[in-house]
Amino acid sequence: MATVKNWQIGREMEYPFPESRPQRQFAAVFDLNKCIGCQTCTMACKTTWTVGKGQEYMQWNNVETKPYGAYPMGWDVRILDKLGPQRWQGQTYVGKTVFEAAPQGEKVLGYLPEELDWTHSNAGEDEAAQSLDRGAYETMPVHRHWFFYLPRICMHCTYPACLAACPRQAIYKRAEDGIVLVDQARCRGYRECVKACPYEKAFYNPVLRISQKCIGCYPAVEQGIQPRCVTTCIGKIRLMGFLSKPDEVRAERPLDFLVYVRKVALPLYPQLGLEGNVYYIPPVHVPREFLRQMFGPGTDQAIETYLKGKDDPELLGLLHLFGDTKEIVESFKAFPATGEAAGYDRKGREIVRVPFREPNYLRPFYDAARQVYRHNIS
Amino acid sequence: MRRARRLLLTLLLLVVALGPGLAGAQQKTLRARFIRSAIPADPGWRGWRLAPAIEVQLGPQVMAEPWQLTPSITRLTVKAVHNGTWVAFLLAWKDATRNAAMQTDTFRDAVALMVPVGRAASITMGAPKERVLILHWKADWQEDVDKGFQDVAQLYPHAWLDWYPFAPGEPPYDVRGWTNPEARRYLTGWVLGNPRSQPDKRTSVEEQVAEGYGTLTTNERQSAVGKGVYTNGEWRVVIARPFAAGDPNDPAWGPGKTVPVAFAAWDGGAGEIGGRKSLSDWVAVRLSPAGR
Repeated sequence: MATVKNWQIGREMEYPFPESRPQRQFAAVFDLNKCIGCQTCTMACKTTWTVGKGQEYMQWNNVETKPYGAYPMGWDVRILDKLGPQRWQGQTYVGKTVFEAAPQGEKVLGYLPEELDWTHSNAGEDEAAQSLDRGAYETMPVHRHWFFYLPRICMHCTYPACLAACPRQAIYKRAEDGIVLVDQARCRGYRECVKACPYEKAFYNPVLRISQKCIGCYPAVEQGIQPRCVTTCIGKIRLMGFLSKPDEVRAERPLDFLVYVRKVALPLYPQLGLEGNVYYIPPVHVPREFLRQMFGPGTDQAIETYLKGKDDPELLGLLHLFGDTKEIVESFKAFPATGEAAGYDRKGREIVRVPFREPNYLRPFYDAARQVYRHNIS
Repeated sequence: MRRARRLLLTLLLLVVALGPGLAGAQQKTLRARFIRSAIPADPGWRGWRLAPAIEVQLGPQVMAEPWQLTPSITRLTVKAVHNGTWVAFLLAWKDATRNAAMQTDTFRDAVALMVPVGRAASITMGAPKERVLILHWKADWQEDVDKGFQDVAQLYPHAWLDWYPFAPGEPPYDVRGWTNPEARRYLTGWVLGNPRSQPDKRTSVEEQVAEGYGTLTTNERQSAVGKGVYTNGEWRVVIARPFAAGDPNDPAWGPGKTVPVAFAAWDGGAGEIGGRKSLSDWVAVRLSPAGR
């Protein structure tokens, strides 16, 4: 075991390999306030990567409804239950990570889902946390009756549990972009990775008898294109980019700005200790105690910053760049004077420019030229 | 402190695990008789009745994570014969369940033997420059050989999918017919030559080499054959290989020599796979001179 720094839990922790951060880290931000659970991302991923034999049950990208949905069944409550109490002192996690809580003779605390756990990927869809009584009404911003969608892909963790657990060292993390891959020639289908990944994002292919997982759409990423689940998102909730090392923050990088500077995007279950690289903007209408368990101690600050976003031109501008280009936005700039934000590629070329506000057009109720009445005049 | 405790426990378990194995190895030698006939890779072959047997004790695997502290198979009955060019082992053990399917949450039964490629090697699956040859029989490969490749239709008889991209033929689209590169694009392991993913299995034994934990690699040449049969709560598995296959990884074995051989077994019903296994210490196998 080596001692490594995990900034998400504010301390050092034990990991089987020494700290070795990639040159650039694949990362993404998902804005949970905007996800409508349409599963377009799921279908984009499914039709691109998992239509093969033995992949029938696999969803490298899935969208589940919280609090009751989970794919595989109960993945989150099961691993949290196994982990026991998870206490924070300020920004420091003082409980155990899945590496530190590993039983004797194991590298990681985990479990292997049963086959049936995979079979109802959208169970719990649209189920609210509690039933509505007669005369019920909602409070703002936090609702009494709530649910929200949680889209999930592989987190391409800085400290992947799948990689730690593989006795064959068939799993590797690429130095050039931090994408975590299973070597399909070397894997022997032991399923140690499936057991170890607390997010349950490693899958076993029973026909090929080896394990497979989200590949971060690396053929696209290598060409400066964002992954399929990001570019197809009709709610424009996603932005993929590269995250700098925590001590080399560059505020003009979209991911750095959201994660390190404004801190509106938070890790999912940071207490697990993997330093995952998919970050979430928490949904503002959900009770805070639920969110704090999911996203850690930064939750309240993140929501406060997000709600003030309309007065923060840089944050407002960057949030508008979500889903507006298929290219990877390497840096961005806001122009409050003109009310615009622009995104740039690796060479500094402008690839996208969007207004903070869409212009509003008013059209007459009666269109004399076409001799029709309009249902919608704006 | 935690690391020190873990190390102490590991050493303690190692002593407990290897104790009986070492004692057994000193006492027992397996005699592999010379026979004049061909050796059929068949556990039902009559010639096995005349071959002397030894009991090999298997202990927990606590040397490399993940451990198997309470393995379910603790004893193998082993016989061996040779005919001057081929050597064959018969491995038999009790197992209450026959596990041959590798679904997402099931594991197959398996057994293996390990021989140093040079004169000797570490019991720890070899070590750098101490290469071992491992002959690994797998119940799911036996199923592939006996009944045809275990595709979706065999693993999940009630499953139905009406379309796979570019797949030739009709549902359920037997994967053995996928010869066009467009369809094979999704069959990563097959295309990359991973033996697990090959639908056209010729043998139930995989030949592997290793130089220590985590280095296990499929041998470039595959010369071993085998067959496993499960009856009355018992697996009987034959693993056979030519002494010399013209392979740089041929062990230094042959008629008239005594070689160390170690054994390991996996109970799929108990979730055993990879390092989650029971294993023996080296057992001396005395190969009779040819002609005697």
